[in-house]
Amino acid sequence: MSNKKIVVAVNNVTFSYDDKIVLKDFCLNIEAGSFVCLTGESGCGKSTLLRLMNGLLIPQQGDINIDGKRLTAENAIDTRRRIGYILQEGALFPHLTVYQNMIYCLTLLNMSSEACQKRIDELLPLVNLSHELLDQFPDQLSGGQRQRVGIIRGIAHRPAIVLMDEPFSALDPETRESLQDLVKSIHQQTNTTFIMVTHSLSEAEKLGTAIVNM
Amino acid sequence: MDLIDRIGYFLTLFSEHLLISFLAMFIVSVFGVAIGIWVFYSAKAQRIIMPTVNFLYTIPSIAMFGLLIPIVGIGLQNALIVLVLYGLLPIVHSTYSGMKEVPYNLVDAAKGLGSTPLQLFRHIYFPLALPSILSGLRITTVMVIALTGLAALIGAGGLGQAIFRGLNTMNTSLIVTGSLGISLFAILGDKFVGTLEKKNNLQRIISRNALPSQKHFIYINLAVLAVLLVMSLAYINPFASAKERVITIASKPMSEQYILGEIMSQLIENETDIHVIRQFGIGGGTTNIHPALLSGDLDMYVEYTGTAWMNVLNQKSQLDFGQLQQQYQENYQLKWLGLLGMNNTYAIAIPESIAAQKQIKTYSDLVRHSGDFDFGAEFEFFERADAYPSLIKVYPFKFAKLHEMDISLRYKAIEEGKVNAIDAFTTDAQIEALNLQVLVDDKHFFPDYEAGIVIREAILQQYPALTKLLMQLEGEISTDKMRKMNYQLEVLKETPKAIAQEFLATLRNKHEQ
Repeated sequence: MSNKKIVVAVNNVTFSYDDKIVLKDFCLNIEAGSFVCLTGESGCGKSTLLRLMNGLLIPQQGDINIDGKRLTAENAIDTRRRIGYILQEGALFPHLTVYQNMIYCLTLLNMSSEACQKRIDELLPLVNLSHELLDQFPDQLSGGQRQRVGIIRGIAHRPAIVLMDEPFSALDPETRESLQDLVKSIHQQTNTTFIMVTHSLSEAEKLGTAIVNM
Repeated sequence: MDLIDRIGYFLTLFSEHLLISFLAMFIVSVFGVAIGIWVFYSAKAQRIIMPTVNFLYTIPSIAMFGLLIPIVGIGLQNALIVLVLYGLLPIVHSTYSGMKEVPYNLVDAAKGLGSTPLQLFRHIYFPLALPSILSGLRITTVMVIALTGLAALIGAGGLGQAIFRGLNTMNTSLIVTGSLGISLFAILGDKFVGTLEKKNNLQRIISRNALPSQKHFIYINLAVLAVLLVMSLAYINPFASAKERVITIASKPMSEQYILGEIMSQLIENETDIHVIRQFGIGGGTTNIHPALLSGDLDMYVEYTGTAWMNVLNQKSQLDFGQLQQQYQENYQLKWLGLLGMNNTYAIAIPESIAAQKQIKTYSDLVRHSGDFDFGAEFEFFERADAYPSLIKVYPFKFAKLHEMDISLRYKAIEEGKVNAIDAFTTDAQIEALNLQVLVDDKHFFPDYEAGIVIREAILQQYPALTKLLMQLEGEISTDKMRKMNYQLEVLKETPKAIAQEFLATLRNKHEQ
């Protein structure tokens, strides 16, 4: 463990919503290339921890370092652009086409349309989606297809870290399994660190290289 | 009025209506959306703006037009301010709630993926709030187009002018045409905004994923609107008058005032190269016209000596005409040209049959029987210190019931038996038409209301020839003559234009002989 680089370091973090303390003096180190699953009861603070890691929340005490650099409100946007984010049911933007959703992070980075096109061509076979879907809107897709689009959106900009917040919770068992396999294979093929919040221990055991029970 | 004239009249009104509504909508959209966005982002703004906008909406629109007159005068500016203030509420609300209702998980996703606040607004909040904004815009469009109908009251023009002219001159076809015009216009406006809303057309255009057919559809609609606007602008050409020699003639919202306004206008147009702008039927009459003369928005109109003494100069009694001229000159730099010859004073009228049956000839007779009468009069009659409040001190009427109504509805009310006594003016055509008896003012309560032309001195200095020209009318219009012309307008349904032409032709013949 000690010879691998620590990409996310959570040091003595305390966070509370109004009066309710959710995390107290919490510490966690995450190694590069690992697949960490955060599990626990609802309200235990696992989603809060995820949102602290990409700066959507800022801890009241302690600090979080991403790639050795302290995450602050000022550098949060830059940091997020280097992190992937995959949410429940994909959380796709309903007014954008499938293609526009997929390249969302690339457009934020002002990538040329040719480069965007090339990157999506690369990724489509990986998630098993056809080109025909690209001009459709999210409400025309099935739940599984939407989450596949969400996965592409989360990894298209080649982030070193991908955060996932209960990405498979709303899917039927069969689709969930195939998407778990998909994420697992993406993890194995890339040197990306995955941090996933899940309430399912079996899912955590299947995917995680480390499980943090909070 | 012949058909061509009438079509021309309505084209002008339609053009004005379109331009006023469009300009108001444009300002409302820009400001309303901007304020809605501001309110969404700033809790402080929300605390101040929302109650203000809600409050503005509760002021009756017709009162708001009036309230603004001392500040901005009459005309387009006033109308625009009222329309904009009213239109704000739906747009601000729909923008704010549209933004607030953007699902939290989408905002979370966009932020989490690295959007800056501006990108979050441009890519997520604004496009997703757009359906709500557009539905607010639809409501506002219909409301503004309808409300523009009231702009005619303060001389801003538009289709409402036909309605008010119709109401003031008992011309039902004008009322119907004006009303239908506004309805049709509102429906078209609603349809137009609907095209932006339909199939998320506008949302898809700004999200850059519209189909070519959607884009073409919107562009064609915008082009049609643009063409209509340009045509309207060209038709009424509001810039032309800025360069030309021009005079603005006003009238109160009464039949005879439309005729007198038209007589003065045609006289000037026939004999000089001065361009006349007709601002006829100004709501509120003297209350709004006199200040507009002082501010230079209007140049001349026909006023009555009684009104001038009591309401403008605030005197309890009348002195002679020379004194009136002098006071107007000293206080307001306004000139009373000669008197026209008619005395249009207040009178109380009751049906001839009742007068005969109860032997009522004078006001004092009426006092004795007043418990049997329902009295109807216009709002101004009850409000003006020199009218009803003073009248009942001299003649202690105890009417069974008082009905306040618009000035144009009094005769209708007595004809239908809803009231059996009304205030009338001695030149009213309907006195003859409805077999009414004008009672004798045995204690000489009502002052003289002799009509005369009031004009800004500055205008007379600018166009010196006007004095001699307008003096041709001195003494030429007796009370009888006026009542006859009112009869032509209200009962025979001739137009003010035709009546004025006929009058001026007779006047010319007389001078030539």
